[in-house]
Amino acid sequence: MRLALNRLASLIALTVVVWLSIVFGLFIVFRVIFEISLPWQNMLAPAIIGVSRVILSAMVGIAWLLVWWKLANLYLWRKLKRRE
Amino acid sequence: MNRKLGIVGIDAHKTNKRKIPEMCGLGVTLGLIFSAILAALFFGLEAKPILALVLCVSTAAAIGVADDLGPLSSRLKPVLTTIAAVPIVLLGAYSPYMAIPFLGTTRLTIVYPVLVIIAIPVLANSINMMNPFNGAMSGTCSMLSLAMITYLLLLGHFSEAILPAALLGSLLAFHWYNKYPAKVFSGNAGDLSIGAAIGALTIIGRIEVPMLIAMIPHITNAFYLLSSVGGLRERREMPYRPTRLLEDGKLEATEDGKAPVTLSRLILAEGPLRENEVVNIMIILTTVSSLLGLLTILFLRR
Repeated sequence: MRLALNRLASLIALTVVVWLSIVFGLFIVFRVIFEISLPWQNMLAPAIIGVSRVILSAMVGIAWLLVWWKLANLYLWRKLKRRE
Repeated sequence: MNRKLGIVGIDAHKTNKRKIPEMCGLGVTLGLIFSAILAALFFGLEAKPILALVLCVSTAAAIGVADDLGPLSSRLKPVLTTIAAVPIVLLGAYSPYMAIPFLGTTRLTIVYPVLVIIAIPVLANSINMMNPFNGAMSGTCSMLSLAMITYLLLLGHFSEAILPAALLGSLLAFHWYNKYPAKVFSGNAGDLSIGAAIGALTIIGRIEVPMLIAMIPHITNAFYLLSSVGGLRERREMPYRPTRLLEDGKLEATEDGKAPVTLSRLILAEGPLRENEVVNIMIILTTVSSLLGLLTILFLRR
């Protein structure tokens, strides 16, 4: 029972970290990246802004995934080594 | 009937390797479709979202049936499931105004339909990947349906809450037979159509961010699995297993570096557990993420 509660606490902590990363990531995307504008205006400006927003948002998404991946691997191998 | 037709699967996590009828998750799909049509007729729900939901779920179910009867390739299945998203986009059964925590509503006129086309196959396949044990899919999806009802009621979308309630009813009936020790399996037909239904209801109900949070266990499980095996692979294409069955009937995480990283392997990393204990932890984690989704609703400003 205690073992199950221990592992549950660790996995809940992982879930909370993922939740915080999603909320923070959405804030960065919609408050910072979507507010980007260029100091000059011409025909190309809307396209440059659009492409930059998509690329930067994708980078935030990749950063989320990397953080989740690192955390899950760290947890898995630490527990497996301790078990051995 | 499925047993007579030879549509059976082996219960891999039992020492006696029993044969269990497959594709029974179609009962949930039919229950949802029938209830959605009744809701449109008797509760005066708008026809467009109901039609989009029915077409989306039926398409995903058809793809699942094709996969159950003659396995589809691991790359073709996700591509085909994007077709399930098409009715939602073509019928315009979405609102491009998405509520973001702390920031209010954002207009995503061009991006939103693209997100719909990506979201439906991602959710359908992530539900499909979260079904390694008896009752895992039905238990966690029942919790997600309950979360959806709560979110919709809290946001004042009372009539839309009827649809996830229909899904919850069908899922609970199915869970009775699918829980450990399972008497029926949902099959890919059930998993994909239930995943597509959850995705479609999320879009129709405009509860995208809270449901993204509620589905953290499903989405992270799918992401860990895909990144650890280096892309789309079917279970039968993976030579290394994330868990193994011990002689006493308990499950244990494997130590192989090439084995896929999955939520079940993370749960079992600390030591062996029984199959139903692992499923209980999966349901508890989905409950926690659903509560975090509820907390996120408090930060939404519409």
